[in-house]
Amino acid sequence: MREPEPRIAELVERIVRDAKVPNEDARDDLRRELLSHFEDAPSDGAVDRFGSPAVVADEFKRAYGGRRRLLYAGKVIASIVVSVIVALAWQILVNLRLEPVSGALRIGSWYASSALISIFLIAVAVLAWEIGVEPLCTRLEHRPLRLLGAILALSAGAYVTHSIIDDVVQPEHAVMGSAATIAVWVSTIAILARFELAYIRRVTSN
Amino acid sequence: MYLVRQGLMQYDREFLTGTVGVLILSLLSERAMYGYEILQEAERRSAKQFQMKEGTIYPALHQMERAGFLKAAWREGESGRARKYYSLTAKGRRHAASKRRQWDAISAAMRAILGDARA
Repeated sequence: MREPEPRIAELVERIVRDAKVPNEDARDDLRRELLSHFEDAPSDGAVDRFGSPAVVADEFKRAYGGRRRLLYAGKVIASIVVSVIVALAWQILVNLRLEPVSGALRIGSWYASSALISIFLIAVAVLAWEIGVEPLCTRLEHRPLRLLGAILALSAGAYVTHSIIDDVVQPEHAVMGSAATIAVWVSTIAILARFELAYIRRVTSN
Repeated sequence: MYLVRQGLMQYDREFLTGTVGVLILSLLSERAMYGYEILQEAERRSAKQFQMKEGTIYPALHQMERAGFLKAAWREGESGRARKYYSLTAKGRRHAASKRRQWDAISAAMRAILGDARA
């Protein structure tokens, strides 16, 4: 990298100093990046076109604000908690049984295992979301017929499987269980999307 | 934050808030670029309608990198000089697609409203 003009070197140093970037490596990296900008930009009027160093440094301070990690952790935890609550609600709904004699409502015996499966699905969905794997239903949302087909196929598969091989779980309950599984997955993705949007708005407005 | 001018026309800031993020995501969805290259490309494609205060692209890039939408790596550019190239992560690609859909919907709606208002 060629030696910058004193005026440019001073501007870059001011921004790096005022940006309050947390560690030395990141500051060195920023310095290098800003200096490389001035290598590319035509020297005539370069400083004026660059803009106010105070404004730029302020923007960097926002980008490196310490609250970001806290907000991110809060986002993930809130997403998981809300998803679990919604999932358990779905499973309660699907596993409600009417006692034939007393007419009382009770939660069926499959609730515990259904709830565990739901929590597992939530963990998978959150992990996939945070590492950037596009969830299946967001790919299908632009193809509603395919999404409907996938739901029907899963339900039909559950019904047929439990009709043929299983006399423990009634086919109708298997279909409802499949529907609940899909509802848990879809609602988890929707919850993750909402919390992510709220997080982005918060960090970009700080 | 951004001053954009074309000739004597200066755009209101309220129109521009949020557009820089969409612009960065859109350009980087095509290929990895470094900061100055993004500025040049935006200016070229907009026929100089869009000329940002150059310094403000870098905080935007850093913010998006810290949000997990971009990743950055130094490598040699076409000029033979080392430059910090930014590219979209998988999360960034998803966010870019979402932003693009929103932008298309909003601009279509605005065209419809403003078009009706003019009629």
